[in-house]
Amino acid sequence: MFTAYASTDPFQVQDVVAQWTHSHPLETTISVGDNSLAIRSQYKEIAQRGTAAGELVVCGRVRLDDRDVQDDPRASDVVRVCRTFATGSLSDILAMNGTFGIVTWDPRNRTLYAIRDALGVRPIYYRLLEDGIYLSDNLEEFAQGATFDRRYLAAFLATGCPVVEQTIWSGVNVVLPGHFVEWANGRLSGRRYWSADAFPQDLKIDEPAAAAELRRLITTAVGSHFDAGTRVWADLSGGLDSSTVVSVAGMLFKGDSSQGLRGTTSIVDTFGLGDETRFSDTVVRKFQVRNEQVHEPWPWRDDGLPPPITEHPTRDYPYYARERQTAALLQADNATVHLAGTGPDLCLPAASVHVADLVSTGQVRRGITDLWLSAQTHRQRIWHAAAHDLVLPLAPRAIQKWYWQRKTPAPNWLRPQFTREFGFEDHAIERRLVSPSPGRVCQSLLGHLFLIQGCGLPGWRILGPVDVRHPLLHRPLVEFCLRLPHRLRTHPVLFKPLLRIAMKGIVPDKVLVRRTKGSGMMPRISWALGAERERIKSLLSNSVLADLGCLEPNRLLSAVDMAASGKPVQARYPYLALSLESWLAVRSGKQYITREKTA
Amino acid sequence: MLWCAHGDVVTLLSLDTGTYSTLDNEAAAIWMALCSGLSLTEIVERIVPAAGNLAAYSTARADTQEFLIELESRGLIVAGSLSDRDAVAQHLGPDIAPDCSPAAVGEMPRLPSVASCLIRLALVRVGLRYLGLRASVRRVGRGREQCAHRLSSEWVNELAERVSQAILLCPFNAACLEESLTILWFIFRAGDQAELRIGVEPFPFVAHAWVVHRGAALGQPAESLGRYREFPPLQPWAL
Repeated sequence: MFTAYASTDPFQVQDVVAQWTHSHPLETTISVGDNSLAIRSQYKEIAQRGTAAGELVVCGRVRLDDRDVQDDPRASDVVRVCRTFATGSLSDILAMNGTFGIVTWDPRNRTLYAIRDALGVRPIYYRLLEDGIYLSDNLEEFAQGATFDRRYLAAFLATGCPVVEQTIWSGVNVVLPGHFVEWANGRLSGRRYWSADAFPQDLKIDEPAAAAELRRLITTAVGSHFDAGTRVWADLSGGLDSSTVVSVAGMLFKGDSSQGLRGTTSIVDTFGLGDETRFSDTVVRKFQVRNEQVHEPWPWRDDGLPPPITEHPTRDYPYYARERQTAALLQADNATVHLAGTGPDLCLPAASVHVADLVSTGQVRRGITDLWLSAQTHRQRIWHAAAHDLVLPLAPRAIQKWYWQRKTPAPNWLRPQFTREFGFEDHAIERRLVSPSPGRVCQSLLGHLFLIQGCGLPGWRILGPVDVRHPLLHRPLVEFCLRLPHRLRTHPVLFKPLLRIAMKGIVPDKVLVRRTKGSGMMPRISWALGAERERIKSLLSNSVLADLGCLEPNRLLSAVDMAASGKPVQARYPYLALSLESWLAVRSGKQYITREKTA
Repeated sequence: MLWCAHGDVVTLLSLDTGTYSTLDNEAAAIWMALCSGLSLTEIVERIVPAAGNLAAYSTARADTQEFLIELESRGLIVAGSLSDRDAVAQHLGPDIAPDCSPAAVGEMPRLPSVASCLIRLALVRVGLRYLGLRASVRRVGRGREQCAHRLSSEWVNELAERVSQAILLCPFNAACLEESLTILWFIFRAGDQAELRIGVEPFPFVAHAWVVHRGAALGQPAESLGRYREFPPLQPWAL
């Protein structure tokens, strides 16, 4: 963890250095640039290098995916970044493959940069002051005395994963995924340096070559997470993505848990599509890997401990009992790393808007065929599918906005003034709006979806000190997939076709041929809205969101009861509101009932 | 009346009205006890034993009796009288297994066109709307207890494909039930047997219908059906 303070007033910086040295004696505190910048950090997170113009500093958490063979193996990744920056330029940093949230001081132009990695794994937060800037990779640094940001609340209530520069704390911003900000002479500016929609598709590549390259990249990506000294576990849901990670690790290390995977964790939920262990067990058996299961978790489940205090609210905050149980399993084995299967859902999307791209670029027959198959798979009428996937994406954004606003109105338990003032509906429909440029519809959608995913990665799983990583978000792998033509990337019936071909012989066939994805969490959430009604009622009787003028708690409770009874109404919005309410209640110190255990 | 249980929830489907009802917790327990043939006293004993807390027992008995009256008023049960021994749940008629044994695979009948499937879909929709579920299912399978012909799996899969294509082109919203009854109708008319299956996912509530021909679900991957809790198969001649 690190914190940095930069100011145009050197005396301010001096005072901060003195203050930090006194309050955090066990941490490293330095100042650079003639007292332009003060940094406080834990060990190994600061690297410095002398240049003709002065001391160049890099600070933050870095994990590089590929390392030069000339590199000193004892040097940490932050030292490597510092060396790269000192001998090169900002562009070299922005081109790095890895995960990083860093602050750098470049004495050559007396500029401070805060850079977040392309896919958004490591966040950086900052607060702009009158004559300075305060930065950290830990949002807790800004929490004391801060008030809640209502624009952020609106974005969270609409999406569960806000894509906004604001954070939960008013006046505190976050550097968005694939962005950096620069601060010089008291002036702040920022730029997006990576976007998923910036990659033109390579129409010439054929299937065998693409499958071979995909296999190579996945193998490299997964293998790079087994450094000496790490004890690696992985998530195994039975889906194609997590099975890919576990299977490739199993193939690389041939069941040797001392060097490879030490174990896998699976969530077993018999709701929805039912028990998926029939898929995950095939992977476990093939590679003889340990599997620990967490059974039937549900949100707000009482495990005898109070809800945790976390840095920021997340969509699945109420699943704290599940997270604690998983964390306990990992800590019992002294696990240091937990691998997730995030990534291919976006890189190899199942979205059918590519139909608009095919038709608008002259591939009409192919486009109509895919539209037909997609409509058949999803049991839609062709007219509806055509309107949705062909006509609407190519319509002007104003028309798209009008359509989606009618389809997704704000729930009646949100106060109209709040939704109007803080743009609830704009946030709700933002992810559905695409650029109507012919041939660019799908890429524009992916550009936004990657941003959403990146904003959600920091709170993906809360597993204590265990480092949660996403091997399939290896940047070269993602960029390769974004360049694939639609015919290899997407199939209306069997999603992720190229991944299935690439993993043939590695992932068990039973997983490779599955046509379902898993039912998600909505069935269990709908059930939990009824099972945990007393807790929810207690939460809403002392609602922070009501105090902030956001919602009507009685109406929300009625909506919860409707969703809990199984009525076909959206449980999603009530769930997001209750997730946020749960987090706010804990942060505000409000009473939180502990339900008595029942048989 | 069909019913199925999933955890502590029971879902009922009224074949006359086509409506679903869900019972949870104690209501579900009472229903299951009714279907086991227990009397009112036995049912109440299961919820609250008489010994130890007479007041709770009396309240439970009164509540259970009120619940049974409500079930009867909704047509979900038929009771001779509401005395201790006469609370009886209505069941489907006895299972009549179709006689399929001598049917052999012979020459396949001509497959209906997509237009023909569309017309039949429309008829099924009208039937469901104006005759109800029970009558529609009965009409579809009328006089088809015997197998005259055994259809190949390729034929029935192609039939399911044509019906699903007709659904794509439908000017009205044809759901899974219309689709399934249409497929069933064609299979019965061709002389073979199949079953209508209906399943529910309780949270959030979703119902789905599909056709099973000789053990294979038509037109959808078996793994996608795992989310549904199935009612007993519907046999038209038993309704």
